[in-house]
Amino acid sequence: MLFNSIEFLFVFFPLVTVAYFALPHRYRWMLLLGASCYFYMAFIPIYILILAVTIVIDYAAGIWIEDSTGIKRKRWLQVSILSTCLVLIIFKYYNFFATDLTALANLIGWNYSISALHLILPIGLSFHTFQSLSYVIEVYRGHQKAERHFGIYSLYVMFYPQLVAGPIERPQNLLHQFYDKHEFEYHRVASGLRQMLWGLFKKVVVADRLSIYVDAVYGNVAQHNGVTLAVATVFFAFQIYCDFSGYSDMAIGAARVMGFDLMQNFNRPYFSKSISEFWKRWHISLSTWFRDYVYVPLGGNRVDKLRWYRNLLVTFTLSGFWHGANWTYVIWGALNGFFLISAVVTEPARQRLAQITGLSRLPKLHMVIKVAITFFLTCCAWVFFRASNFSDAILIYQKLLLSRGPLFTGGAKDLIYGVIGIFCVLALDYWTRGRPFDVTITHKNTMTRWAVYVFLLLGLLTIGVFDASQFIYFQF
Amino acid sequence: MPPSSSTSSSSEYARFAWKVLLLFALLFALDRVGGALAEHFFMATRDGDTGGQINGLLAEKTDVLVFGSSRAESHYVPGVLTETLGKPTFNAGFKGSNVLYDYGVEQLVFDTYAPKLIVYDFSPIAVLKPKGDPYEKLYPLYPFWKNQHVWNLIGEDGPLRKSFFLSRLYPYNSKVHSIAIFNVIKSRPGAASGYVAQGGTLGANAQPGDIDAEAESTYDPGLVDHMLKFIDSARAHGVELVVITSPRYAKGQYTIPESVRRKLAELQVPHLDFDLDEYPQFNDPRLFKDENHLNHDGAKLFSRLLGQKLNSLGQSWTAEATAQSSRQ
Repeated sequence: MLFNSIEFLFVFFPLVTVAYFALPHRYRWMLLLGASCYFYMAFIPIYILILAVTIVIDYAAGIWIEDSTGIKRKRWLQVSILSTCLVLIIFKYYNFFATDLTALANLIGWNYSISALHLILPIGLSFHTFQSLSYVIEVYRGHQKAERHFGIYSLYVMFYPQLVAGPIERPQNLLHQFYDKHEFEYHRVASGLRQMLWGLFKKVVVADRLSIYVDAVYGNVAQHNGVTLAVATVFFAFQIYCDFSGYSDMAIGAARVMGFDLMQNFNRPYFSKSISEFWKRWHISLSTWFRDYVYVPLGGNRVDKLRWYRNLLVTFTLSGFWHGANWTYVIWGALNGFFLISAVVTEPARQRLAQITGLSRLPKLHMVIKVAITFFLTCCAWVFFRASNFSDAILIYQKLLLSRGPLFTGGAKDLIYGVIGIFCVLALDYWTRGRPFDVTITHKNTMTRWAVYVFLLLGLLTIGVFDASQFIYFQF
Repeated sequence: MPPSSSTSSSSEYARFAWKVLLLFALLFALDRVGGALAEHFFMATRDGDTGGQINGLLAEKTDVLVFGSSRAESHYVPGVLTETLGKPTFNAGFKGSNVLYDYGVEQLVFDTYAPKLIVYDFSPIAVLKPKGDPYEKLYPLYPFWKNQHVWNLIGEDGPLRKSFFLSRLYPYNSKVHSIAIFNVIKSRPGAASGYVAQGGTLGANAQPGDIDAEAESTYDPGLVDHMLKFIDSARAHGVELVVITSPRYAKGQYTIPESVRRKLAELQVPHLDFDLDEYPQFNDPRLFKDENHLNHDGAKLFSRLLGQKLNSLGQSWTAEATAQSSRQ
């Protein structure tokens, strides 16, 4: 079930919410767990069993870790991590490794082939496995008590608003909330609905509109020139932002309506002044996950420079690999790691350049240039993320540099509405100045608030794309 | 004294319900007003790829109508056909459309008037199994949802699609720019007859490609069924029908679905295929924008040739005239 579908917006969500507030507190977890199972099974019902297996293992591992001491604690942690990762490897990465190993064997003249598995990737697999991993690691570190209530633990993994595309929550933030009694509060419900409306607008009006143009161009790279590919890449940058942040806003909003607070996942990423800042504002729940469980354990930046650079590169390459079993994602991740290392290495030179050119005395202009360069670098990396394969990505770079010609307009309306959508998102992002949309709106007077509601709702009706297309991050 | 929890909760519910009701009332009013305005300005348009073109053809009431997708839209020059046939012609071809759209427009036309001849440009794309929902192609017809035939067609997509039409603005979704452009700068030159000229040519040394015959299983049974309905409906309204496969810069022939071929034979509907073997004058890359589309020069040549061919079939394009022509 998709957040932008009629079934979710007008049937599932209202029914679950009304039932949630109608039920006594002690039964609510059952309702949410049942609703979450139904929500997940609306995609591929049988895959709920995979989720059940990881839930059982990690639930038991959490308790055993807490009840054990010494080396046994570590063993249980390893068993839990290995079994959770095994699910991920079988369903997501097996074919990737099998294909590459076969190709490598052929390259060295070794007739060796591994047959591929014909499995459909369970929706949101990387999200709920990472949430499960974060639970056992936090229990191991002693930051979280093991959850003894099996139903509540299952709900922690399966809570429907963030089950298939995050935000990837930490047990310290989410688990205790299932025990809290949430009353119907007008302000919180209104705030949640506002957040959902903004998320829906970003998805239906902006992301889905831009996707029409992006798909037409990236689906046939050979036929398009550099100008068209540049426009399609910029469109993709906003498509993926609006698609994913739109989903996150809807997840956060839907949870808030019922009284749950999920973490903020995006904070105006395209206003970042550096790649490092971009990663503090983009997919925050995943960035902090990699920071806490990969980058810091590797030594972070408290090591010598070479190891620090290695840590950055490893963390970002792994993050790319998390997104998909494809070299294009790996390169995308590595490219971001490379940008970060370059930023560290060139910082003194850049500061000198700013002083020589006088930019340091013009902070606003300096900031605009930094934002533009960061956006440019991000777009360069997005090429790998969006391209169907490595050779397409290389062809795109070649054409971006060498091929000129008229802009492909396709259906001109998609270009027109795409640009209008981007303008709306940038304007609202600028207006909110880093605060969540609903917080900004709450502090405005009634006229402004209602004008924004009406603008967004009429925008949905007049320029929204209503084909209930899937969210990009579901595939991860 | 602070209110009790249940009193406070019920007042919160009441406040919420009241605000939601107010928002819906406001939205309802704005939707009605906006919808009425959009309808007024849309119906004044005569051009555009979001449905305005349909207003144009319903207003023109020409004797000859051309149907089909992008190949129809850019291959049939109404001015040339009008001159050759001596009958006013309108090009109702629409890029990216399928047979559902064609059928819907045909029904709108028949509710207004009956033309003398329908030229249907056949491309497999009109009936191939689509990647997405084929009913999405009906969106230029949404402003005509009050027409019973169009409403039934929209309804075939399921009740959810119909529910969108509770909004009066929704039928004009993604049409605001088109309405605004038309009402400000009026029609594009030459667009009043539905034809969209294509520029550019294939390279002088380009060689014709090959057409892969479509397997019967690649056709969508629902779409094929609507093509049969399109043919039946034309005949039921006493309109002559000619099926054309216009030139493409490729060797081979498009495959027409078996049931459609049978229907054409049964009703003695002529089918003219302008393939390169039979019409070598099109074996010239300078006449094509790409393998599937003639440029403006190619379209003019084709339209003149088609007009002459249709004339040779007989002034009234009857089946007897067709049979007579083939006997000669």
